[in-house]
Amino acid sequence: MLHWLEFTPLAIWVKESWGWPFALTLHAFGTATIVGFSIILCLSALGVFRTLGPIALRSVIPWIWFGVILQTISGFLLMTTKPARYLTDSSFQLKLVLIIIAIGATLHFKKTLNQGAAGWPIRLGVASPLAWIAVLIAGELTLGPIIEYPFPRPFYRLEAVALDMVVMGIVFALMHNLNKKT
Amino acid sequence: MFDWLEFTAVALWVKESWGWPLALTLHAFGSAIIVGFSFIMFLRLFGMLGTIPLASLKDLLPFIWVCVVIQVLSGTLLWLTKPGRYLEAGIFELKLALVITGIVVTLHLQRALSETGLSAAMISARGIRFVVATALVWSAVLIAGRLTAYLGIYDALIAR
Repeated sequence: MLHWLEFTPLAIWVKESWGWPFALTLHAFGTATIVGFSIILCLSALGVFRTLGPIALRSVIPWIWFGVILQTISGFLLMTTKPARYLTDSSFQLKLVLIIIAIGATLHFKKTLNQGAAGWPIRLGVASPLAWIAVLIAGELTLGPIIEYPFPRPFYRLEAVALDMVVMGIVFALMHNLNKKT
Repeated sequence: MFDWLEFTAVALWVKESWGWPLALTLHAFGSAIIVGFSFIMFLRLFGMLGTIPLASLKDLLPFIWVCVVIQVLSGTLLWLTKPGRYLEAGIFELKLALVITGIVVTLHLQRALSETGLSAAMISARGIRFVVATALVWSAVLIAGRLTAYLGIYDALIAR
């Protein structure tokens, strides 16, 4: 059913040109942002930082949403190379379910922080980073069986890395402007 | 020269048992913390994430160091499976050089931020000098690492 996707020009660009390294490094950046930023929330909710409470960290949550958008786009690009293979992989299915749970948990955490809660409701927020970590693990385990490539692919290309930097720069600039307005 | 390592008991455990998924997820987790935390410091010193007090930034550094240790350990385990192949790949040496650079610039950042009695203005003036390098170098390590991960491709290219 999804085999047509594999032969669209987009999928072929990812598969045979620098689309692959581009999307892969972007996906790694998105992971670092989401997991890194939600772990910091987790640690502060548990009271690990003396001077940094979760309420002070609430401004990192919009960045997590940016990461989610980045991941959806780059993840979709990676998936187009072998759609059927990915969608039938049980680790990948688990990953998709975990993403939905993690988004729900993060939304809930955000609501708790906005209400200025403390104590147990905040500590329950730990569910959100834990869910993102689970997504990370499921993602790494998806990689193993699927990534054995039978086809040669240009691998590290300067234009892929340059485009990554441009995309990250645009994201940063956008966020900077949004921050100034609010 | 390193090929004998491939057949040590540890290397076989990583290769044939659950050592590989363990080390791989640990490695992904560690890179997320190092890169994520250095992005947070970068963004804060450039005026974003305004709700985080500048004086708290230095509290993030111990977590980065813990993760550097985790990365070295888990990375060594992953490397043991194909010691010769990794070193032939070129990009792996680049990654190692970048890791050393990353450690050095992060040490400088730590020294700049951790003096006692710094005012917010001084923290931002001192931190900004090193945080750009810290965030960029760790990002470069991440990119080089992602590209190292698919070593099979080199064989395919050579065979063509």
